[in-house]
Amino acid sequence: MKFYFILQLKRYFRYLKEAGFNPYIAFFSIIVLFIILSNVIFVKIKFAEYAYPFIALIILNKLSAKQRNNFLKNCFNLNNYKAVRLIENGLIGIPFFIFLLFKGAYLIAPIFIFLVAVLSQFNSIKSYSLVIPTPFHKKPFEFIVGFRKAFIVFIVSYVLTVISVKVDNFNLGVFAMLLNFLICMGFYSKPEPPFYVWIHAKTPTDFLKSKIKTASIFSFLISLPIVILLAYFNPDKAVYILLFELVGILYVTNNILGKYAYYPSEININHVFIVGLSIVFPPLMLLTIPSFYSRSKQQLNSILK
Amino acid sequence: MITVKSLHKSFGKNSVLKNINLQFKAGEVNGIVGENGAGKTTLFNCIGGFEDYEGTISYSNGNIKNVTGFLTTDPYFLGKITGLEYLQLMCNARDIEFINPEEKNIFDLPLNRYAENYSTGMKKKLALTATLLQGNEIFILDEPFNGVDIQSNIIIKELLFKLKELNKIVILSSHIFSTLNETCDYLHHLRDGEIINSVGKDKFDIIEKNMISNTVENRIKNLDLD
Repeated sequence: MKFYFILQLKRYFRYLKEAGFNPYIAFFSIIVLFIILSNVIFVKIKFAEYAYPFIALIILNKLSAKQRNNFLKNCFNLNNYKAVRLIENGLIGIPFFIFLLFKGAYLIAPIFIFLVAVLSQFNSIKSYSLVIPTPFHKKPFEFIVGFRKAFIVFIVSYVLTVISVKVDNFNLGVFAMLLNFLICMGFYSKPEPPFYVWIHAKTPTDFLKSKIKTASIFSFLISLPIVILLAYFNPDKAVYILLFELVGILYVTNNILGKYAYYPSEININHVFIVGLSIVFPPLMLLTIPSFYSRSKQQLNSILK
Repeated sequence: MITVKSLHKSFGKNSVLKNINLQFKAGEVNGIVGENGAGKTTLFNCIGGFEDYEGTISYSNGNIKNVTGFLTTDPYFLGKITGLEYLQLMCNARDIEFINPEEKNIFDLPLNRYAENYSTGMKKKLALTATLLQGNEIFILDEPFNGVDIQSNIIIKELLFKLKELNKIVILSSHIFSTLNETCDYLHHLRDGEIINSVGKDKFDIIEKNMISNTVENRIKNLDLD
């Protein structure tokens, strides 16, 4: 059991090193970030003493994934398996428990830690078999996968748009539109296995063009209900709506090219920083898009030769 | 025809393939045999263009990659993609129109379910179906019979005969000698990254005996089983 936890620590160190972080600095940063974010939740959210443990329990639910637990059951006898799960849940739950106590939630904190212990003895019963229909079946890849994973966020963005119209808050509608594009960007954040690039009988240029074309059309389609609604109720701001639409498509394009610029490696810290900066300051994409495009072609050349 | 000349492949200081020289002709089924770690998958990856290498691999009819169907030992499927969508994706990649999916589903796979939830054998059958739908000229099949049920094994054997008849180039690996015996025209024995023997159908038993004597008997003795 001790070896298992040492091995897990080694794995996290490896992930962090591969992502370009110093593991010790990263761990320290995570602790600092945890304290800052916890504080933000308690400052910004009403009924934070309920929302905060709820967020923690959602995170803990990840440890209850069936496949992971089947693996653990294969590795350990029943008693050790239960102990491992309890320790794992404890390691994640205790910082939240301490923060709850620090914030004076003396009633909620013990209930929370009790739930953490109880949850450790159950596997997730999430069903993976339901096939969610999508309008993207002709080009089944990033948008089909992404839509099925994030369709709730799209529903939320549409609801936000309706609210923005009702309360006459144009900025909220723009936020909903950009949220859509940020989610679409996320579809291209993880590099696919080289096999899924290799199968294409295309040059790197044609491959990139087809990826950008598909992403532009599909992200435009996803945001179309928002565009129509906003333009209908704010006809005087139609130019702005189109401008944000264009910026959104450029966000997605920037991320596609950024992904292949480092392909097949995972995104590194420099890439995250540059893409993040482009989101905050879109004109930067005038530099990043050509640069990523040229680098992507080079990176793809070895696979699509 | 595919011609492999003086192929060398190393990972750092570890030399995985050493001076491989082979020819694969159209209308022939070539089997590559060897222990785990002998270099079979690396050889396939080099032919398919997944790996850089020293030496030359040439194909008489142009670019190998664009006409090759590659069945990996353990096909990987993207999450939240149905079997049908996977087949569509593979056809799109080669600009091939994907029509009549029901008729093309020769293994009776549940194409409307997520491929990631398929069993090992079903995954293999789906990946194999995709390589067939792509209209490839070259088929690299790494362990096509592994994890597949008996009925499907029979279908795969018949498919190999059909591919041979259609003048395709087929290169496969398997650890099941009976299937190699039935399907292959030539066997190439790979050991520690070197081809130590290449034989025609009439001499397959030499390779089988050689593998058994060198890799099985002594090792089982070492276990000191009572």
